[in-house]
Amino acid sequence: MNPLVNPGIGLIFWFSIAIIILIVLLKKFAWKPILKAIHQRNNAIDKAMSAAVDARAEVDKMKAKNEQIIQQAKLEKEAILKEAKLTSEKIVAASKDKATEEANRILAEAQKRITQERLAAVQDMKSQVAEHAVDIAEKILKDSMQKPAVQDQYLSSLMNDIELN
Amino acid sequence: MDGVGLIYVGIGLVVIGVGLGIGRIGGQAMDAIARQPEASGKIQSAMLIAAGLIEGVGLFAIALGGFIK
Amino acid sequence: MHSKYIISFIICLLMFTAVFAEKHTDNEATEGKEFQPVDMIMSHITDSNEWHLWTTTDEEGHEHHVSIPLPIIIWDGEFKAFLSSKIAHGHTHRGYTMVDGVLTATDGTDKATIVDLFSGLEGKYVDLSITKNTTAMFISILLLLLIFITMAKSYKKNKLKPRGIAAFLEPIVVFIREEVAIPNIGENKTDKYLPYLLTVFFFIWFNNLLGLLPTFPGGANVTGNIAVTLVLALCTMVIVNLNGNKHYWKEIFTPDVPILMYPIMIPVEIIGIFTKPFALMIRLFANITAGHIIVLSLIGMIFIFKSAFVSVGAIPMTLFVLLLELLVAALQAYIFTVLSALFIGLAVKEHH
Repeated sequence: MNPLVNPGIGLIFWFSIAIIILIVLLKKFAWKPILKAIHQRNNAIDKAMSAAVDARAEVDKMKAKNEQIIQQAKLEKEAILKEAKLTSEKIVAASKDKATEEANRILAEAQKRITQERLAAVQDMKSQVAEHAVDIAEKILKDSMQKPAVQDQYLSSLMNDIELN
Repeated sequence: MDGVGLIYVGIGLVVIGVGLGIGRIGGQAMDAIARQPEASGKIQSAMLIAAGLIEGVGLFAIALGGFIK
Repeated sequence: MHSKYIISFIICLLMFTAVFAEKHTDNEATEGKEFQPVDMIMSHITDSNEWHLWTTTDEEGHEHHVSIPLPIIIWDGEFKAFLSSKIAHGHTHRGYTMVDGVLTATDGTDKATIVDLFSGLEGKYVDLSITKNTTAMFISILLLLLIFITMAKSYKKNKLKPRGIAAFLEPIVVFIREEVAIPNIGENKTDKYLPYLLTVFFFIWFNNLLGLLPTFPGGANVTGNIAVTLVLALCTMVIVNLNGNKHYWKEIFTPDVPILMYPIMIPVEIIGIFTKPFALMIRLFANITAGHIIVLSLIGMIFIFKSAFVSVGAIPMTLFVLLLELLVAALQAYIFTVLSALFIGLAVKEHH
């Protein structure tokens, strides 16, 4: 038989012992820790992945919430602005009315006062004119009376009047 | 021709058969991969196993030739 | 980048081989000694009792072999142990000598082989020597322990990311688990058999690769030695048959065929128990040995034609075959592991 396919006992003996020792040693000191480490890491990665997915969902949720809040704030802002505008318009309108009223009132008062003043002035003028007329008449009378002819005439006229009566 | 020579002829015949067989497996596997490239990993390992099993037959013949001689 | 360096390194190495080859040829031509390719190849792929490193020839034409002596342990009625250097160079010690590096009894008794274990050890001596292959096997085992215990320890430091050797080997470990063990054995029983499958895969792969190295600490044909593949296949067979469940034994003794077929089917099934591991044994042995024979034949061409010019063709061919062998080294380890997983799976898988 060819020595290639008819092995001696030596190598079989040594190798049988060696392979069993090798399997036992590698199983205890290599494969168990290695497979355990790989398993643990896979678990850790899975956990981290699911955590990441959860976090992502959370972030999305928060984002949606924020969006909602922003939308709401926008609406609120618009409403407030609208109201403010309305209020200011109202105020402006009101103040305008008041001012017009005030002005009208002032105007009316002024007119009234002017009329009064005018009336007073006219009255004053009238009385002054009368006074002046009296004065003038007095002066004229004084002047004319100083002359005896005039006095006589006057007296005669007066006499005439009395006579007539 | 003596007996030993005939053994070698027999081994040669077996090897021809094995060669044809493995060739067929390889060819069919190529076809299968061309049809389904996404399954190429599975096809390859199945191909290797089948080829290994057939190859065993050829190696049997060669080794038995050694045993008989 | 790296592959470029590796390839140029291999080419340099092969060029050196060619230079040495030429020197050798010259020497042998002057000596007029005929080169025997079969002897050369056989001495490379079989076991020996010393680890031959190189041979030099001095001016007078005497050859000096430089070898690592290995311990010889013999039991032939009494226990004998000595170093192989005592019987080297044709010396005789306690009834033994070495012929071409292999232990031989001077009185012509035969070494007991595996066959003699069954037919009786009468008139044979039992050789338990630490041979070249045994030493290479021990070296590879130390290497495996060193690498994988280092890898296991590195996980304590790097919990999140594999670093160093672990980064390289972890995908392979995971591949064996996910692609080899689980599909064949099933998820819940994988953990029990995975250590065996991983050990066998890496043992075969490392030894295939070490066998491709030209010299010490590789160069021994460990996985191409039928004793080694025999033990590996026996391991698979023992695991399969010790763990075989009810369904596995039912398939063998009461297969699903008509009763009349039983006299044929049962022997076939029983033979099948042995042929499956036998095929495992032969496949690995023949593949690796064949690879070594091809490489040695191509290198041997240079010596056969006694011309350095042959190396122009032989060296690229050798390079090609060596690269192919790198693939085969991994492929055969893979196939052995897959088939072991398949056989184990057939025996232990739950059937519904």
